[in-house]
Parts: sequence; structure tokens; C-alpha cells
Amino acid sequence: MIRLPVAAFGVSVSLMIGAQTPASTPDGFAVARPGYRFSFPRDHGSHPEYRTEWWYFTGHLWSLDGKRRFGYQLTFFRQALPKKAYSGSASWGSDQIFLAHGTLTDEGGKHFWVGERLNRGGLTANSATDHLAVFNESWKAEQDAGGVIHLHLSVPGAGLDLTMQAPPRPVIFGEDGVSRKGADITASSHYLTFPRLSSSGTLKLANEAPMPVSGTTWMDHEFSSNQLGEGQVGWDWAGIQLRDGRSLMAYRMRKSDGSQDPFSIMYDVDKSGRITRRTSEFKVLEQGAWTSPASHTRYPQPLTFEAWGERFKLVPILKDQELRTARSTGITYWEGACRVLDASGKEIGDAYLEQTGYAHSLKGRF
Amino acid sequence: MTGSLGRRLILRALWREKGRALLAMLSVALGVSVFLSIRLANRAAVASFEGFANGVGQGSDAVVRAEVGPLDEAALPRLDAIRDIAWVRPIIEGSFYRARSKEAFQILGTDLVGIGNSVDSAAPAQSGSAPDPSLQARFFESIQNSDAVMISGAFAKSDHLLPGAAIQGFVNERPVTLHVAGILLDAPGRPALQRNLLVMDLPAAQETLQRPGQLDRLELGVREGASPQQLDSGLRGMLPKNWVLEAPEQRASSGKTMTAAFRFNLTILSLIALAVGAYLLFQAFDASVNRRRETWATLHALGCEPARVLRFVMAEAALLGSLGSGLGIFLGWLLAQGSVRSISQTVAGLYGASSATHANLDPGEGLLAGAIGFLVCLLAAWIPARRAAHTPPVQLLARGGETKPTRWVLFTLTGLALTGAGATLAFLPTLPPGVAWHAYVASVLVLLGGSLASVGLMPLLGAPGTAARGWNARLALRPLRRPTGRHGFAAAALAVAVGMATGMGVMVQSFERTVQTWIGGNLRADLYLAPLGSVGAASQHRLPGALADELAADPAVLAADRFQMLPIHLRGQETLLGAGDFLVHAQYGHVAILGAEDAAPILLQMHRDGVAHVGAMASETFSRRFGVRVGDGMDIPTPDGLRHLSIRAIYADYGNERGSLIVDRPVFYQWFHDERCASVALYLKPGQDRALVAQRLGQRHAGLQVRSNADLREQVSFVFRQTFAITYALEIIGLAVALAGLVQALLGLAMARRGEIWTLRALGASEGEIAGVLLGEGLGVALAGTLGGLSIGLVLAQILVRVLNPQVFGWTLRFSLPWGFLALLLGLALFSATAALLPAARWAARLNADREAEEGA
Repeated sequence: MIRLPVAAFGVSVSLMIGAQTPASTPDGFAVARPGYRFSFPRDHGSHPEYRTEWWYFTGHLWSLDGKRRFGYQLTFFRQALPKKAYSGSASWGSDQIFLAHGTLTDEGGKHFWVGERLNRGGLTANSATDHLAVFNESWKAEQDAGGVIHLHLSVPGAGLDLTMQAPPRPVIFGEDGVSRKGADITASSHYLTFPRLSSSGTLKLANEAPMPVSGTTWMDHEFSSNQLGEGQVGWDWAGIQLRDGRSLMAYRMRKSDGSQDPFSIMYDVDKSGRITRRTSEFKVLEQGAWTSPASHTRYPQPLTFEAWGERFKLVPILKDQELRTARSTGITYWEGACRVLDASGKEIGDAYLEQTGYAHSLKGRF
Repeated sequence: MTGSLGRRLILRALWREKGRALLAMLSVALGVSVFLSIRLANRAAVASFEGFANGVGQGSDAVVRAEVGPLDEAALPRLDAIRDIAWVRPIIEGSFYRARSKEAFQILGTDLVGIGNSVDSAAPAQSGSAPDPSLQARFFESIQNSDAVMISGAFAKSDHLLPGAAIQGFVNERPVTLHVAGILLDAPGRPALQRNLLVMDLPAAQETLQRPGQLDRLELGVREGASPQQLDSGLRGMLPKNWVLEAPEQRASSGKTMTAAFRFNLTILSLIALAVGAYLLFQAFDASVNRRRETWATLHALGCEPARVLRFVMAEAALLGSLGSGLGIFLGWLLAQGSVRSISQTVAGLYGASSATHANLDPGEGLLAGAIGFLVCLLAAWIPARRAAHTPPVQLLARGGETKPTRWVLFTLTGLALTGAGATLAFLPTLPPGVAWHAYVASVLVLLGGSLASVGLMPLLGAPGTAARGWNARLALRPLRRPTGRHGFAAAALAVAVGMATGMGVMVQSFERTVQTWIGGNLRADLYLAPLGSVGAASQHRLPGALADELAADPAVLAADRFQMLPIHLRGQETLLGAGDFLVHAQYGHVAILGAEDAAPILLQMHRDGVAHVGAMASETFSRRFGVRVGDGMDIPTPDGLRHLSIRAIYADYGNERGSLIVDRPVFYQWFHDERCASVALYLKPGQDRALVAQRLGQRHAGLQVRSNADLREQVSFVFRQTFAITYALEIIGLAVALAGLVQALLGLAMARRGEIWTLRALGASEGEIAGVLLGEGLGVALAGTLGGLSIGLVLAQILVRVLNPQVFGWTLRFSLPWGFLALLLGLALFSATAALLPAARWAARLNADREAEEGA
């Protein structure tokens, strides 16, 4: 996925003056404000009063014999259009656009499949406002009354059906329920995460019998009306699941001069889903690069995140996990499954890494 | 050696006889261009949505429609699972009538957001530039305004329309103002968008057309990695009731069958133009070979093998064929630009479906036309080439060899036998409907046989020459008694052209007469009202039921017949289901029922039987297409499932090729819950002034076209004439080609008689007298060709009217002989021949003896 709103439909918001967070943007969308009262399952559902929202699933799956490893990503985006008197019909809305990106990585087969969807709110895509139920054409993610999330993804040549048991409450990142992304006080979001969802299901690959798979999924849900701060061109985001039960989330916001924005942050979440520490003083070391033969974009890889005296080196399981999403967001970025190695080179976990702003600046697109 | 000899024999000869070479080349070019232009124009005219769809995304692999009526969009989620392997494009269509230019536009509503899913997946990676904010604004404009419309570049250019401009007009009978939100640019390398296409976002289109929740079709395309077969099998299991998957072959032919009758006429004509051209080429090569007989004799004498001589002549033919075909392809493309408008208007007029304004040169079509031209040229040169190759030198050098009389008796007998065989083949077998190969073969046999038999007319026409008193009459008619090959070719070519014109002319006249009689019988109401822009059975304009009721309740109205028509899928084919007020029709109207004098009792009985025992009238075309007769039962798809009806009558209908089934209006309402109607026929109370009522209703309802009985008849006649306008144009081209051949023949004949001409001049004959002799000879050939052609045409017309039309289209036409047309054709042929031959005869009369030396060089 790309973690910030949708390029094709984004509208910039002028800087707010003063420290008080305004209730809404000048064009009438709600701003993520401290003190937001979360309620579940309602807040797993859609928040149309905010301009942008996404539900993000990434996971690491293995065949039952453990011999075959896969990664997947399924992201649903909702983007509100500028408010107008005419908003289409219930079946074909003209006020909300839904986009989705889906990928599947086959480490052994060295294959990376990508799919994307672009639809409007109504019959072909939508999201419920009272619980997690979002779909874009045949791609779906829905939580049933028992808390089980059902997911369906298909990409050319592959189909994936998963179920995952979610804990009662998600991790809520940020301060007082608000995750800041930049100096602009409105550049913030409400950011919820299930960092470790035990997942199982069936993977269907072309010309192969359906394959039972199991593993762990990371799910993010974020809604906001403005995310990108002034001078930021992109970011490196990682969701790390360590073997010791901890989960780490980090994003490095990059400025146009290549430096790390002070609003970058890294979190450590323990086994029980409690945030134990966070820091903006983490480092990201670039230890090589991979250049996409398709877009000729150079991505610094592997990346090593360094904080609290620990090193987490993210090594992609497949180099080419680049998405070129001309049919939806129009953004080219890299997002893929990685192994996590410690300072001694020992494999200590799995991660999904997202790198944006390398093919083109995202400035002006959010 | 071969190269230089070839250059000398071919290129120099062609250069020396530039006129002949040019004429031969033009003959090929003309045939090729006519053939090509018709095909290109037709291609352009029938292309509609595909142009737009292909411009923004991919062509579809499957189409889903309702068996009857619209698709209910609420059932769309049932197809969600198929979206793993396919994209789905929902479509709604409608008509918009632009008041200012009195033009009909096609509204095409589709999901402008989701359409991105059908864009080619091999999209390039993004560059470093940010998206243009004005593009985003325009996109919002196109989906966030209920009156936003995207127009074609052609429309924007011709009417100087920019984004934001208003387009005022009517949808159904309602005044509607649309605003230009964007201009659709033609995609490079793809067919140009039709001018009259208005693209709207789906919900806006549904609102504008007042059809909330409805779709006309779904287009589906397989995603990367999936196959059309997977899509097909996947879809079949999940389609809701009343939704049908259109077979690929059905889709491929749907655009074509719409104009099948029309294309058929044009293609036949273009092929005949090529046939006439072939005769001329044959004649040109024959003359050329004859003129150079000394060259062939010398080559033989020098030991040149016959095969090599054959190759020289064939190489010349190939060169002329290539040049002529190349020129023909260019001319064809030019012609298509002109004819496409004519064809397109006709198609739009008849079917309300197309409005192409220019035709692209399709490489396949160009190659086909070029190949046909090239092959015809080789074929025409074959016999003269063989003669040059295999005739002994002595015979080649013998004086008068080129004027050897032809075996006209053999030709006549062979021709008559072929004509007889053709007529027998056409009329004897009874083949199933739709099968017409025998009629096509028969037509070719009749054309070929008739043209050969025309040669035999010349000795008959020349016979009075023996008894003529004047020397010049005797000299003029003498050559006709013993016609040469040159006489024969000229007469045969003219016979084909005249035969073609006669055959088509008689068919068209029979058609028109039949339709006029039919209209005269059927159109009995005083006024006909329909939404502005409604033309033909395929029009999508509809009147609301309430408005029809209001019109029926007008104090001046005695009775109103409301007519509605819906496309339905029956037994895998598309046809039309209509509804009329049978009671009103029985009392005041008229319908031509086959095999029944009076339709009223049948209509009344069907009305009385109501929905309990539904009866229907089937058009003749319907009856032929579905193989049903009076008494047969049929199950008709309705939104509530299948409903049964029985066919009570077959009626004559020349309005469409798909066939129609008509039920009583109450039955239709019960089955389809649809109160709307396509048109209303009003019968006025006695003493009411039609013109005044029409004026009053027209003023009250600005979106309605109110036509009197006479207006409607005039419109039908206009559409009819427009349909066949291009046919007449092609016939004239055919005649012009044949007359060019005639002139060429006369010049050749005069050359052959130059010794005689010189002697006559030496004896004191004036140039005028000699020109008269030559003109008389030429006119004799022209008369033989024309008379032969008229005879061919009459037989051809019988085949077209009595066999081809009923077999192919299910239309029974009354054969009627248009004497005026035939006399006009005869006069026109002879007058044109005189006009064309006169200067040629004058030129030939001035031929000097020393030209002989020049020619022999």
C-alpha cells in the first residue's frame, strides 16, 4: 500500500495558524484531534467525515510443510472528493472513491504479482460505518460478530482467502489518539493497528492445487484529512514482527534534501499489544540499493533500523516488489516482505517495508 | 538481356501508349476504389461505442444483457466473484436531440471512475511529475455534476465548444441542458470517435435519461492471466434470471446485421463495377496485344519462347494492376470520406445508431481491395497474353488479323445457356430461409451469360444494313453483321453495366412501390407524435405514460394508438417486442395481414383474449427468422419470467431486419409494467383541422415532434430515397466505366478501319460523313449492349426481388416494372453513348493514312 492518501484525488490544505487543532479543514473535513474517543467495532468501520482512510493488511505466510514462503499485501483506500451538492446515486456515488492495491510474493517461485482496483462508493466498492467491512469489487475484508476477520484477495494468477482472529482492542499509535506526521498540526491521523493477527487460509496459484497456508498478518487502519507535512517527499515505513513476540512500527518521513524529518517515529509494542517505548531518535542505515528495471527507480536496500541499542536489518525476500499503480493511485513505490536480521546476522523476525518518494516526489499529491 | 528487353517491351510500350495505359490503370483504380470506399465507409458507419471504449480501455470479451428490458443494477453484486478474473463495465444508452442543430446524439453512460480498471495493464511507470491539478478538477467536474458531458473532438471543433459550454436539447420530450466537462480526444491508431457521442458518468446519465437503477448492458473483459473461456464458464453459473451472455458471434454480427440490407446492395454494386472494369481491361489488353503483333512475331522469329512472351504481357498487366490498385486504394480512401457521410446518415436515419463522419484506411481492407484489383488485371490479361505467346508469327503478321470476326453464334448460344442455367438455379430449388448462395451464383451466371448473348444482338442490328440505300448506312452497319472481338467486349461491358443498373433499379423501385403501398395502407391516423429526434425502430426516446394519456384525452382527439417497442433476446437472437392498442387499431387503423383481407376481427379477438390467452402478430421477417407460423406458440422472456403467447397473424413490415412481435398494449403493460411509449398516433374527431391541432400540440410540448400523415409519408420516402442515393451514384459510375470502354472500342475499330477511312476520303467523302459512319457503328454496339443489358437487368431484378430479398431479409416485395425508369435508362445510355462517341468519331474521321506508319512503329 501507500500509507498516505491517494494521489489522484488529494487536495492540499493550507497551514493552520496556532497550536489549537481545528475541528475541520477549510473544505469541511474532520481533522484528527487529541481526545478522540475510540469505540469498537465502530471505529474499525469507515469514517466518511475524514477525507482519507485506509485498511492495510500485510502478512507472511507459509505452506503447511513450511517449505514455501509467501508475502501478501491488501490495502483498501477510501478518499472523499471535494464536497459538492451533487453526489451521484447510492449505487454510483460521486463523493467517495475507493482504491485498492494487492500483491502476492512467492519467494521460492521468485514471483511478485500485483493487482489494483479503482471504484466509487456504491455497488462496486464500499465500507461499512459500524464495523470492519470493506470491499472493492471482489477484494474483501470483513470482521464477523465473533471478531474473526475474513479476507479475500486475487491478483492475476493467484487468489488468497484468509481468516484471522483479532484481539478485542487494537494498538492505538500517537499521542492522545493522534499520530502526527509533520509540523502542520493538521498533518495527523488516527492510527490503529493489529500487529500480529494469526492467519490461516488457502492460496490458489495458477496450475496448482489450492494450498493451505498459515502465518501472521499486520493490519493498520488509519483515517485523517491531511497527512503530509511541508517539505516532505516520501517515507520509509516498516511493520516488524519479531520472533520474541514484540512488534515494531517505524516510519521515517524524508524531506526533499534527503534528511529525516523530526516527526519520524519508531514504536515498540509488546506481546500483549501494549506500547512499551517510542522514539524519534532512531536511525535508518542504507546498506545498498536496488534499481527497478521497470521504472529505473533506485531504492536503498537493505535498510537497517537502529534504536534502543538494537539493530533490525530488513532484507527483502525478493528484490522486485515494486508497485507501479498507473490504474489507481498513479504512484510507483516499493512494498515488500523482508526478513529481519539482528546485528549478528541472525534472523529474528519478519517485516513489511514500504518505500515511497523514490520514483517521484509525493509532494503535491497529498 | 531479359531486363532490357522487358523494359523495352513493357515500359517503352506503355510510355508510347500513355493514353491506353492510363485508361487501363484507371479502370483498375476505379473498380478498386469503389469496392474499397464502400467497405471503409461501412466500417466507419457501424463503429459506435467501440471507438470510445477502445480509446480509453480495452475492447470487451463478453457482453451481458437482459433477455428483455434493462438490467437491474441491484443484481450487479451477484457478479462480484467474476471480478477476480474480469473487469466489468456497466453501460446505459439513450438519445439526446440537440435543438440548435437539429441533431440526434447518442448518450452513453458508463462508470467513469471504474473505467480505469479496463485500461491496459501494461501502463508505463510514473514519471517524476505531479498530476496536473486542472485534470483533477476536470475529472471531478465530470463526475460531480449531474449535467456534465464529455464530447467528441470533432463536435467540439465544429461547434467551437469548450469545457463549460452548454448544450441544449431534449431527452425524450423533456428539455435538458448539458454542460461540456471535457473533450474526448481520439486515441492514436484507433478509430476516431463518432461526432455524435455524448459520454456521461453513469449516475448522471441515469438521472438525465430518467432511468434510475437501470443498465442496458455490461461489458466484461478478462484480466491478465485469465482466459475468455474462464470468463464465459464463470459467468454462466452466476447470471441472475433474465440476464444473458451474448455469444461472441452474435456480438460480432450485431453491428453488421443492422445494415446488412444496405451493405449487401453496395457490395454487389462495387463488385459489378469491378466486373465491368474487368471487361474493359480485357479489351485494353486485347487491343494492346493486337497492336504489337509485329513485335510478338519478331520475337517468335528470333527464337523467343512462348512462355517468355507470355511473361512479358503478364508483367505488363502486373505493372498496370499494381499501379492501378495503388491509385485505387488512394481514391477509395478519398471516396470513403465522402460516402461515409451519406452511408452514415442513412444508417442513422434508419437505425438511429451511427454518425461517423470520416473513415480510416484499414490496412486489411486496403490490401483486399488492392489484391482483387491486381488479380482482376492478371485475369483480364491472361487470354490476350496467351494469344500473343502461342499464335504463329505468320498469322500474327497477316493483315487484318486483328479484325477477325468473333464467333458470335457460339457466344450467343453459350450466353443463353448460362442465363437459362442461372434462372433455373435461382428459381428451382427451395432452400431454407437465410440461404441465398444459389441466388448469388445465379446472378453471376445471368450477368456473364447475358453479356455474352448481347454479342449476338449486333448481327441482328446490323442486318438492315444490307437493305440500306445510303452508302454510309451500309458501311456503318456492315461491321455489326460480323462483329469482331472488340465489338463484342464493348457490347458485353455495356450490357453488364446497364444490366446492373436495370436490376438494381427495378429492385429499388419494386421495394419503394411496395413500401409506399404498405405505408399507404398502414398509416391512417391524422397525427403522429414522438419525442424529438426519434427515428426508426432503434430510437431510444420514449414518452412518459402520463403524457400519452394527456394527448389521448385532448378534446380534439377521437382515439389514440400508443406504440411501444422493446428489444428482446429470443432463442439467442435479438428481436423486437412491440405493443399497440389493438382495439383502436381495429376500429380506425389498418395493418396488412398476409393471407387475410381484414385485420380487424383478428385484432379484436386478440384484444378480447387479453392476458388469459395472449395472441400476437409477427412480422414477416420475424416469422422467417424464428421459423414460426400462425398458430405456433412461443415463450417470451419478461422481467417476471417466461410468458406464453400464440402467433395469430403474420403482417408485412419493412421497418427493420430484426423482425418484430406485436402484442396488445394491456398485455404489454401487465408483462413489463412499462407505461411509456415510443410514439402516439392520434385519430382526430370529425371536423377537426389537423394543421391547427398539430400546431397547438407542438406549441404545448416543445420536445415533441408532431407530424401529419402526409409529413410522415414524406419522411419515409425521404429516408428511402436517401438510402438508395448512393446506389444510384454507383450505377452511374458503372455506366461511365462502360462508356469509356465503348469509346476505347470505337477508337480501336476506327484504327482498324483506317485504310477504309483513307479510301473514303480519297473518294471524296467528307469528314462529317465518315464520322457519321463511325458513329453509326458505335451506336450499334451501344444499342446491342443497352438492349442486352436491359434484358439481363430484368432477369436479375426477378432474382433480387423474388429470391434474394425474401431469402436474406424475409421481405416479400411486389415486382413492379418501372417503365419510365427503363425508358430513361435506355435514353440515358444511348444519349451518353452518342455524346461520348461523337468526338471520338470526329477524331477518327480525320485520321491520315500516314498515321498507319506511325502506329506500326
